[in-house]
Amino acid sequence: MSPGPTPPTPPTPAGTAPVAAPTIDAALVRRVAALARLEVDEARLPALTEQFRRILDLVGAVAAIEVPPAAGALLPPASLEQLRPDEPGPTLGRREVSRNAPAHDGAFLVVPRFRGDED
Amino acid sequence: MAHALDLPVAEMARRVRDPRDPLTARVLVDESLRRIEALDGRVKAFLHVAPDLARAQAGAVDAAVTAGRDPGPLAGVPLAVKDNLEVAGLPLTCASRMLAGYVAPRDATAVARAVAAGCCVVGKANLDEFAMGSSTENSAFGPTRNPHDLARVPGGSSGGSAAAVAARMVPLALGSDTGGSIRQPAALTGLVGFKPSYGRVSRSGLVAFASSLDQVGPLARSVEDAALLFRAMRGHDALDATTRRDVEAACPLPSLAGLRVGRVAELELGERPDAGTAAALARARAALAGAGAHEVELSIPLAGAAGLPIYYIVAPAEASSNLARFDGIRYGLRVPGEGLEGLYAATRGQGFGAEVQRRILVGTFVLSAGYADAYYKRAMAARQALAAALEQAFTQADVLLTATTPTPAFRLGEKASDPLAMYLCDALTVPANLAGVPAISLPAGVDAQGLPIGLQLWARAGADEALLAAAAAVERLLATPSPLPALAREVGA
Repeated sequence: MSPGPTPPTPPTPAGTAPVAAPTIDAALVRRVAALARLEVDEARLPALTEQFRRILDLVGAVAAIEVPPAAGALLPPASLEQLRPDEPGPTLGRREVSRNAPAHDGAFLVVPRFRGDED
Repeated sequence: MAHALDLPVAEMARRVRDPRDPLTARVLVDESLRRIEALDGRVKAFLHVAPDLARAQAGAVDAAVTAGRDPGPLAGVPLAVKDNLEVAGLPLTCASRMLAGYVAPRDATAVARAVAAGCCVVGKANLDEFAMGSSTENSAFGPTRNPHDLARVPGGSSGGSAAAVAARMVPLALGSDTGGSIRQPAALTGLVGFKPSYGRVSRSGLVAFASSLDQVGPLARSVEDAALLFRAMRGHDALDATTRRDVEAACPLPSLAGLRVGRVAELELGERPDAGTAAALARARAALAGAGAHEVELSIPLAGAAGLPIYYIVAPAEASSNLARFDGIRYGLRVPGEGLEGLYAATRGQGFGAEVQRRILVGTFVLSAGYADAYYKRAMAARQALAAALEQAFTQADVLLTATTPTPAFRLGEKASDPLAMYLCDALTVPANLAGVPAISLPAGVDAQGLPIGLQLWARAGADEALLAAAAAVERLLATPSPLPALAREVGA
């Protein structure tokens, strides 16, 4: 789980009373966008903040749902718990992978330098 | 005289398989391509048309017939594939700038099985970006239009697939349904759209939106056509660990006398329903009663107003995780930025459209520390309770009957600036995905404006064949076949 934006109210365990609705403002949207690695155009921020607030109003209704105490995480039926043997198999070749990459040198994907010139 | 492309799919394929019949796969593919050429400039159902691939596949089918080999139950049937499913050698964009230029290195399992059954892929169909939307207006490459009224949306996210079948460019299309994305466009364009049980059709090669909800399924002009494509695709797949291993036999057409049809109070149309939709639902209920079906009144509170909040937590949460892979390093678009983080953010900020960004933001928020318990974990607990409530409901009813959508097709742009208004289009479809049960939308006539209306049947998880059989019986009872748009008559359909 990613570290979240600073919550304005204490966290609340599942199945108990809901957290108070967070304050939805541009700063919160910026922080969530940073977590999501999304560059958000400042000109769009007011509209996006309002849309974000309205969507959280909608989904915040889960707080009012009466969930039986026994309800836990959704588990797949046994018929779906079928893993194939953990054995090597055919996979995509280097050419297929590099063909769809934004940049490659023929042998490797080219990625931006991120540790500085000393490397 | 109608072209063979307008025959029922079983009849079309039977004739192609018959070496004495002059109808060939190549004839069907050429007619499909001719119709696409004539109509798609206005409908914009396709993002990519693949005449070379389609003709090569048709050639293989015809060669098999000539050689005395069985080319499969869908021999020569032209197929449109939603552009979030891989077709080897064809572009795979998910209607996103993020994947512009991406070429699929392999076939999705569903596609490979359809082709092995004789289908010929004529192109990739438009969709809402990464399948997020209910109108196909979220495509980065422009919206698809409803063949019944070009000023209206075809629904979404499988809107291109629906429009291609509705305009009679192809008899079959593949879609994906995460919260109604097959059934809703099927309803708005007058088609049959089938979302199988979760796990019935492999998701391998389907670009993931919300992995616990996504399911591949057919759009067609009749239940029989949809069932043929479904049967060609279904079954366990080693490449998708969530595929079911149980095998269902086809069910005989049931008698409607005694069929228990559930009427769920929370899935009714509300106090001010759309008149045409309410009338179609009332007609269907009266017809079923007349045929001896028993209406069973049910209450499933979690399937009503709670469904959308649960869905719009679970689906964005999974989407925010699944779409993290699109970072400018491995696939498609790369936008330079300051440092590695800057490159990620710039690429994702410019590569994803507004709706995808909104859902990533919501998903990131509901999974973040301090909020995951209150939003995500609570939604998952509610989802579990909804699945249990539906399972209980199916001890009292064989199928549930609802409208597929609250209204017929709306105008392009009518809801585009209001995400919540768009989300409400999914109110009657998302619970089936949350519970993993099969659901099918059937044509139920048109309203006073000539716009198609769809009704929906659900069955218990795993009962796909029983649902298809019941749907075929209801289809025959209602006698409201897929309506033919005026536009399709231009090409002789």
